[in-house]
Amino acid sequence: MSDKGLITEDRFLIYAKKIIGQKKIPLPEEECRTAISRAYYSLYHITGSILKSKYSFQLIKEIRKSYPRRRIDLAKLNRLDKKYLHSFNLHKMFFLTLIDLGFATIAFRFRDFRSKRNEADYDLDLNFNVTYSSIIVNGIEKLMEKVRQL
Amino acid sequence: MIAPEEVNSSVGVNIKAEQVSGYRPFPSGQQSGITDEGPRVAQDVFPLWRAFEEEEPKMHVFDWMSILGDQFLNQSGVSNILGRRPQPPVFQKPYKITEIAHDFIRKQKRSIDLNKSLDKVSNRILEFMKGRAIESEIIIDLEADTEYGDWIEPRIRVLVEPSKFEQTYKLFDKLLYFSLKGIRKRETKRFMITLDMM
Repeated sequence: MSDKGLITEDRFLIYAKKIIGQKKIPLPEEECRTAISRAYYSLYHITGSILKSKYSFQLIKEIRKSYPRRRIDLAKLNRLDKKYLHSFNLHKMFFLTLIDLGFATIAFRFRDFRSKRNEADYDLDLNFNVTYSSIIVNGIEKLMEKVRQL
Repeated sequence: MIAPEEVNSSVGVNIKAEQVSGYRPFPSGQQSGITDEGPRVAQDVFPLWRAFEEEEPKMHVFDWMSILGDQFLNQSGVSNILGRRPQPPVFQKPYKITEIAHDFIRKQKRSIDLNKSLDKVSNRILEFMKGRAIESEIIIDLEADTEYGDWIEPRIRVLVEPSKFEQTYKLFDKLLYFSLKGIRKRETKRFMITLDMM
């Protein structure tokens, strides 16, 4: 851990852009994949912090609705305990909460980037090049701007 | 005086003629009361019983299926009047759906609603793409999140020609807005849309 302070959400995106901005020709595929994965996590963290700070009621409601069979610790959930929240599929919860709030377009784009991140990290049959990764990373950056304005 | 319709009996009992004709005639042996024809009757019965026992496995059962087959139905009056049963029209859908996705959707709660939404959204996406002269193809498949087993949902995969991929990504907001218009919130939570290269 750094003593200079906590890492911010956009640092992953900065790193992703640094990767795809390299002048290496061709850019190694693992770097193209890493850029997509890092950029998605910037989006994930910014979405999480906006939902927790501005729409916590809807987020909690969505978690309770999505896990009807699970015995929920309401005290921990209501105070948005970080460790406790990690026991839920937050990627899914953010998507569902965004739809419930009426931000369907943002929710579907968020879900698309989640899918792209999974492909980048798990699907080795696909080919990733710098052009494709740049399109995705730029798309993520634009979506982050929209999420910040929610 | 004995009436003409009455028959004279040797024992003096009068039996009406109609009553006599109502009875079946006795076999000759029984008429005399002598039972020398008895064994012949028994012999007749025995081979019949044996024959039944032997033929038991070959019992004749009507094959109703063959009777009610096409040939029979075609010869019936109803079939002649109405002609062949009408077949429902089959419309070719403008998108593909994988078998696994089809089975998954079919097993879901309110699968009809989900199917309708997927159909509507897919058709709108194709309409949008056509309007922008972007060659595209839609495949509905299943997306299973590799890290969370509880997140499996149908995915509308929009495949775009590689040269137009960047342009389409810029139009993604408009595409989503156009295709999701009027779709219930409840339904939009049940599927996803992704943009991919052909």
